[in-house]
Amino acid sequence: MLELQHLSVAYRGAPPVLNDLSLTLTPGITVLIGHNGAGKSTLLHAALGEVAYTGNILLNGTSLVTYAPRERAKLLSLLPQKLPAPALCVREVVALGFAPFCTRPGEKEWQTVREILEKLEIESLSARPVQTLSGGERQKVFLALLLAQNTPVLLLDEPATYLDATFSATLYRVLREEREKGKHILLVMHDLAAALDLADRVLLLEGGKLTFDGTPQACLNVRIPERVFGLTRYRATDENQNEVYFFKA
Amino acid sequence: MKKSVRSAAVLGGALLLLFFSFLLSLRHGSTYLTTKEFFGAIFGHTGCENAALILTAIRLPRALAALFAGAGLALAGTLLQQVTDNPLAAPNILGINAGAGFFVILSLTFFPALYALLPFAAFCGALLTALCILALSGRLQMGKTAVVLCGVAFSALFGAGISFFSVLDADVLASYTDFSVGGLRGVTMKDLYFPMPIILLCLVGACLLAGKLQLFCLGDTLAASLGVPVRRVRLLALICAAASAAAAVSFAGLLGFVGLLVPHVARRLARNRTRLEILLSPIGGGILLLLADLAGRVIFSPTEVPVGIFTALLGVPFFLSLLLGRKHHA
Repeated sequence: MLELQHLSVAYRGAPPVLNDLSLTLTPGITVLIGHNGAGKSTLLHAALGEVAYTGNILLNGTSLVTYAPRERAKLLSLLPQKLPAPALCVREVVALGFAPFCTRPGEKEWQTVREILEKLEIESLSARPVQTLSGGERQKVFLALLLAQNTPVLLLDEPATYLDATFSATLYRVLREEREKGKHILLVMHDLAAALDLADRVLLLEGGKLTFDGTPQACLNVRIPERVFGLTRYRATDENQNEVYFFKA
Repeated sequence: MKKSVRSAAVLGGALLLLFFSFLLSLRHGSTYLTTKEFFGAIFGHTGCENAALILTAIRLPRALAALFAGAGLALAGTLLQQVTDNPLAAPNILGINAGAGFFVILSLTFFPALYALLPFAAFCGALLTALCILALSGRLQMGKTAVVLCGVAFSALFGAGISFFSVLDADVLASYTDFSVGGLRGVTMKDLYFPMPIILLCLVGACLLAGKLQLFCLGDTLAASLGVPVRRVRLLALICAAASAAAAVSFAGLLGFVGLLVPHVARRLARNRTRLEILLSPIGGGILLLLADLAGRVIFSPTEVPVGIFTALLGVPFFLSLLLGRKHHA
């Protein structure tokens, strides 16, 4: 669905952020990990065509540059790390997710908005102006917008940043449901334990290149948390006797 | 109340107010017209020829000038505030005032006898400066911040140029002061033939962009993710803003504040619905300038106070009450 071929991105006067990177996004949840400044966010923004790049990006087998922006928005969506605080109420912001599909949301779209808000357990915020919400609440609202846009490829840049433990669990549940629908999800995360628990595939970005691409188990086998991030691994079992990992610096 | 009904009611109310402001502007002036003379002149009754002459030669061009100057500046302000996401954005951040002023002072210095050249010089100066700022900010690839910074730099440069030519010749300074204060005195229909269609075209262009501009409130990345060609829409909106403000400045001079104040009022009334905001803003600008110009003509008659002074006197208290009201609600 989304394929990056020999992708390079360089900002003026600086060494390349992404360097000849190739990647084919597979269905399921792919988590992108790496140090701060490794180029994870740049990779997502490049995949949207928002930053200048060399190489080729294919969406559904066709070069991204040939897509009209609106047609691209029906296939690919991005939730950025930095979120705005528009002077609109929550349901209005979520309804903007239908912008690529219709100019004005009808009754069916408003019903979908209500369902999404219920699913994310934020229906009580529906009429609140987004400007009055906390960072975590805003994160939920924009996740709802992404669900309204309902594209087959989802790119999320640290979606759990401001979320409390309860809503993080809701977020992971929602992402798993989206995976079940066959979506291609590329997620930037810093919480390694959560990332390894959630991911079907893990990518490590270092020095503008992908230096690891494999399953969470393979990631543990080659000791990436210890080698790359200098973490100590702790293992426990949950009540269902599943292995759970914790990492500490 | 359903949103579409409320929007229609607000728009209808604003249009009605504009119509009555326009009628008031035609009805009152330094020469008193009776009601019979006024309506007789409008409907072409015999015996009302003098009144008809006053209406068609003096008051109609002036009312249209107030309407279109207010509409052009307010539309430019709304578009600028939308695409730069900056509530302080007004036409002057695109170098409109500085560019127009500099070209006018060049025209006054080098072609002092050609007064008819001034509106053309103002329009070219404003538009060329705005286009230079857009081109330069595009090369800097800094998005909306670059536009504001380039605007500040160009304004400072042309401000220095204006000061330089002003100190060289006292006559030039005196003529330039008239332009820089802004006003609608002596405007004729001929002065409006060129700017009016430009402002109308810009309004149509802005309405066509409204759906995409609505998504700018989500920031560039989310707008792009939702299918907005962000750079192209921003550039088109800025060109509309520049052309609209340049057209207004060409016959009304450097009227400040309209492009800053009216968009805020329109946004409040439109409740952040961009399409409605884009329609309300020029209507509001027209109403403000029509009433301010009328007050300037009538209150101290026969002395005429420049429209810019009454724009501030009428607009600032309203603007402040709006801000205080917003704080109270928040």
